[in-house]
Amino acid sequence: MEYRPVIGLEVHLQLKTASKIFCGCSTLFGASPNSQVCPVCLGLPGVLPVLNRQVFLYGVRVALGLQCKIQPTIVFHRKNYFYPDLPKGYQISQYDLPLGTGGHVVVPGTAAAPGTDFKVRIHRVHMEEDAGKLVHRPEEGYSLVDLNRAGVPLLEIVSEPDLESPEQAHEYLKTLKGILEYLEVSDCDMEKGSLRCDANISLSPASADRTAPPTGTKVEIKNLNSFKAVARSLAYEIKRQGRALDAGEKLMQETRLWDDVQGMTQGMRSKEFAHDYRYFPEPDLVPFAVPSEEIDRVGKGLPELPRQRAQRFVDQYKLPTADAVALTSSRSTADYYEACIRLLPKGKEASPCKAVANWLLGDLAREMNERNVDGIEGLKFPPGHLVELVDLIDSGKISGKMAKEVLTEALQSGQSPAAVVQAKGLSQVTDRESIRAAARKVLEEQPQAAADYKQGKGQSLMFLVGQLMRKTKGAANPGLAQEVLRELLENR
Amino acid sequence: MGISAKDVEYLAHLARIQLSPEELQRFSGQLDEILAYVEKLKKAKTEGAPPTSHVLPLTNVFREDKLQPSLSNEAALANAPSREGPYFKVPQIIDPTS
Repeated sequence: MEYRPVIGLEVHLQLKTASKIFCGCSTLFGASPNSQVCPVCLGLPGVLPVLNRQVFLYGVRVALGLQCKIQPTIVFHRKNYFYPDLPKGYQISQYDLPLGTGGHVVVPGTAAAPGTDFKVRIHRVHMEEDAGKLVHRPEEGYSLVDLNRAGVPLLEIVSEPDLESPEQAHEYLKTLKGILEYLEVSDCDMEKGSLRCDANISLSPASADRTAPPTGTKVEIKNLNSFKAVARSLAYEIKRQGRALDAGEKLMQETRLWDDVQGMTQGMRSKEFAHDYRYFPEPDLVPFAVPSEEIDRVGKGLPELPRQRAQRFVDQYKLPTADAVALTSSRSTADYYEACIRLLPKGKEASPCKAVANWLLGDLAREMNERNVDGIEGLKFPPGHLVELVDLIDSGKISGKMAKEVLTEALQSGQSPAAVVQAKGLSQVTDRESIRAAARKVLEEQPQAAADYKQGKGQSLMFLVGQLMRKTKGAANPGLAQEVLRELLENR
Repeated sequence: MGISAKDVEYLAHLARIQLSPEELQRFSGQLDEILAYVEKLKKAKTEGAPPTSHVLPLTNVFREDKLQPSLSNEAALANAPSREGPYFKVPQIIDPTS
């Protein structure tokens, strides 16, 4: 049978505050175990949590950035369960009165369907505290607990089940991460765990009405450590659930863990995680109600977000939409691009704008990939260097092909492109006399081709240009080479 | 009425407390009485009174994002029943990542 996947994602975002959500302990990553803890985050008796104002403001910023409505009354609840990483026996989270609801993100298409925007609705954004970290010692049968992370502020961003494929899930996450980076509320680093994702997936018959609530059995996938893992685990679940349904099996509503090495999900056999959290209002925290002026103030302070910036790039730099979207999806790339544009000589930006975009999205993106660096800053190729490279081509000093070599060399040595050209003597030959001398030699060596041209075979000119380029080891300016050869042939 | 011994047993499991059969009986009776009282409360006229989650007439109590000194590692672990180096040591419950 044909099925339609119904996918929703929950993203946990660590906010980059100095102190924890309910106490003054540091949130710094990588400190020695249990050195950033106090009676509040240890859950000792008789202490009271107090909300960090910055957490609240960051939360409002994110909720507004995701087009959510800020709720008039915001209340914290206790989510009760027992696990050693949770010292109080409950997590302070939010239940029926979260910070923001009813938002959306517009995703600019997938690789399979580029340019086809789709909208993912945001169900809710709420604040909560993180749990501690466990180090398991399975052979010895015990675990070690580090509570430095307990009480670090998190935002949970829950999407509606609007995603229909692993690719869409991947693109949604990329877009969401882009927006969160622009909002400057988190370092969004998946490796450090400051951005985490759980996925929910069920299958509906492909023929089922899309507007009706989905009827499939929902499976939650955890332990997803990268966007790629999210997409892979969803593809795996679509196959697994589809096969089970085709075989007439009944699926279980359960939490499954992704195994990235084996490339499969496995059910958590333990019943220890009872999904019965007995939420009730946190009596230690009073309700919150933000005056609308304050919401307006945060709203006015929002930066230009990727989608708006892409539109501006199209208008201002005359870039194709696809380029503008690709450049703006990461804030650092977009900032780099605009730093380059500012360095371009005034009055002649139009063509270099596109050239700079091409280099960024082409060769530099590939270098970033190959060197496995995160963001353009990792390449150690400042905007001035890229502008210099584009200018070297533009002014005819080097050819596009030579520029690629220059780039590789510049990245390796850290020298500027102009310095590389100087050091390697790579300058393109634009001197008409020296090209003419080489062209004469080529014509002597290739009398047949020269004769063919005279007989009206136009394509032999290109052959001769090729020979000339070879003779000069690619240094001749190709346009000039063609011009000089034609001149010599016509005058024979 | 509403609460059976089985319900109490389930709640006791969630709360990780062990109850004897006598206690299960006793507590289901007591919880029943509490719920009956709540039923009575539900009959009170509450039109025009917004739902409340807190008894204090306070909202928007914040602290600034300022660091305060943490406990020393020794102080943090002082009452721990079991420790290893700078860590609390606990029996392994399950390993959610294996």
